Amino acid sequence: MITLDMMGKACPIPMIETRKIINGLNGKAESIQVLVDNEIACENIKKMADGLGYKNSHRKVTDGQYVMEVIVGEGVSQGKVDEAKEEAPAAKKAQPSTGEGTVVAIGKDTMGDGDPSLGKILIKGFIYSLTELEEVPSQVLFFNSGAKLVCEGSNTVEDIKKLVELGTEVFVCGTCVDFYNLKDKVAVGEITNMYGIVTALSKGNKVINI
Amino acid sequence: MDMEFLSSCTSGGCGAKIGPDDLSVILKKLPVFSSDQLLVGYDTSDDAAVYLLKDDEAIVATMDFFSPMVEDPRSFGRIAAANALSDVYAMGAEVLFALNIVCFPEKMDKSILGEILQGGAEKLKEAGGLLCGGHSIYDKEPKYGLSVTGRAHPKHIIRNNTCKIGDQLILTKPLGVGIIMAAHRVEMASADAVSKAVYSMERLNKYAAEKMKSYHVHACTDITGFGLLAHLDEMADKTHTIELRVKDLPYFKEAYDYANDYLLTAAGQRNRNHMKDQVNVEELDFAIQELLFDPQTSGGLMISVAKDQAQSLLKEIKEVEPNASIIGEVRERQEHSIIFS
Repeated sequence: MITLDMMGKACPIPMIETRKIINGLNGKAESIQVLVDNEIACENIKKMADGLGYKNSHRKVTDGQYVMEVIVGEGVSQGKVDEAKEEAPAAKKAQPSTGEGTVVAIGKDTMGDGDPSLGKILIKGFIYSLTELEEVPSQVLFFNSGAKLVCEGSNTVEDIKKLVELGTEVFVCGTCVDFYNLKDKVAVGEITNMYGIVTALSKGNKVINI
Repeated sequence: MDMEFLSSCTSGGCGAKIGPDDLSVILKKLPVFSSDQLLVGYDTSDDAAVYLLKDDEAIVATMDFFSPMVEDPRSFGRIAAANALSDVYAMGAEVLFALNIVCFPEKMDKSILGEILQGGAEKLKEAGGLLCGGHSIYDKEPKYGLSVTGRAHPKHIIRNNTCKIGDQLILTKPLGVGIIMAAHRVEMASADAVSKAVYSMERLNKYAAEKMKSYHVHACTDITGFGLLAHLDEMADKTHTIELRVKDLPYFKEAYDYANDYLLTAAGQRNRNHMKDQVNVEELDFAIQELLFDPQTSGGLMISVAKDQAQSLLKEIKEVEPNASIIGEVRERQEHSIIFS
């Protein structure tokens, strides 16, 4: 059993911290007890737990103290990865500081095959994690529906801007933004053509395809 | 991001309102004050009190203050003032003058307070009202707002519960600012979403209210921390049922996405609990449900207007509030005060 003390924390923090613990289980069965100071916080955690299919219940301990229990079954959390922050340490481990000259090619607005809404969460987490690397990629290329990630309205724009601040060159395929009618919406990155994309891919010490 | 301004606050903006359940129990125990001069008191949960001075003149009084929901103190000042002034506009009245209400920590940098007051003064100026005093005390966390006095012809006062069957309901601002600010608190909101939400909260309802003047508006209220459904319920007043057309609701797309990530407020859940007997939302998409309960700080006006005038008024309002939309219709009373289509 894992106990999480969220006394005095305003919504949505108790939900987020609970979700982070679930994600950290990597499919292991576990019971999580969250201590909160009001029933509303339990009800907000319940919406997340119900929505993601975890058994849950809550009870009042004393005035001003409630316990929310979320039961994560074996294998249930596989693939239910939260956005961004919790992935960062893992990404650091997988990418030691040899990333010099790494090129990341992103050709989709989701990550992996499967449920697209999960894929969207994953790609956001992936891009955020790139910003947390000790050495950020030298270049990140966006093409096909991946081009949508650099455009206004995408929740990845801020993290991509951060990458640029950290020294990454960001390129987006001009044909692709034209095709999706996003030419006026590009919020970060420089427009390039296929020649630019091929050159970047062939020069990279390491190329990561997403 | 500098969160120091916010960090001590448990819940900012209209989300910090005392829950309607808790409040109504207490208010019921207060003595009822009545007078022929008091045209609108607290018994109808209207937006402001209205007191008749003479046959052709009434004063409209309201106050509102809360703790910060944005980091920029000037922006907070603007939002708190726009929110306080909104009640006067929702009554169909004009703003005369206002007094500052200030709580501020003894140890916090006083230039922050200066910025808050500047922001509030900017909005009061925009409203065409006078700032003429106030009261300030030390408190653990900052709070700011205004006590506002307005004026209207008694016949032109627009109440919140006097809609008529067939009326169309116009909502002037998009829903979702509560959810966006909740996502922002945990650094999961996009900068673009936050700036749209802040713009919306700072926006005076004055411009939409001015458009109402040449129409037969039967009822009007502004959307607050209680959320859209609570205000629809008040407007239905147990005598009508409001049919809400879900597809026509204006909302911030990002708020919809954040709701699906469960980035939700405590106030939104309190609103849900409060409305559970009045409305059945189970058939609706989860994120839409959350938007309907989302606490709106400095929310838009909801205007109930005769059907034959609705399109024309909407067109005029859209000149100043491009996201405005007709969201529903007033019908004969059914079992629930709100139904969905």
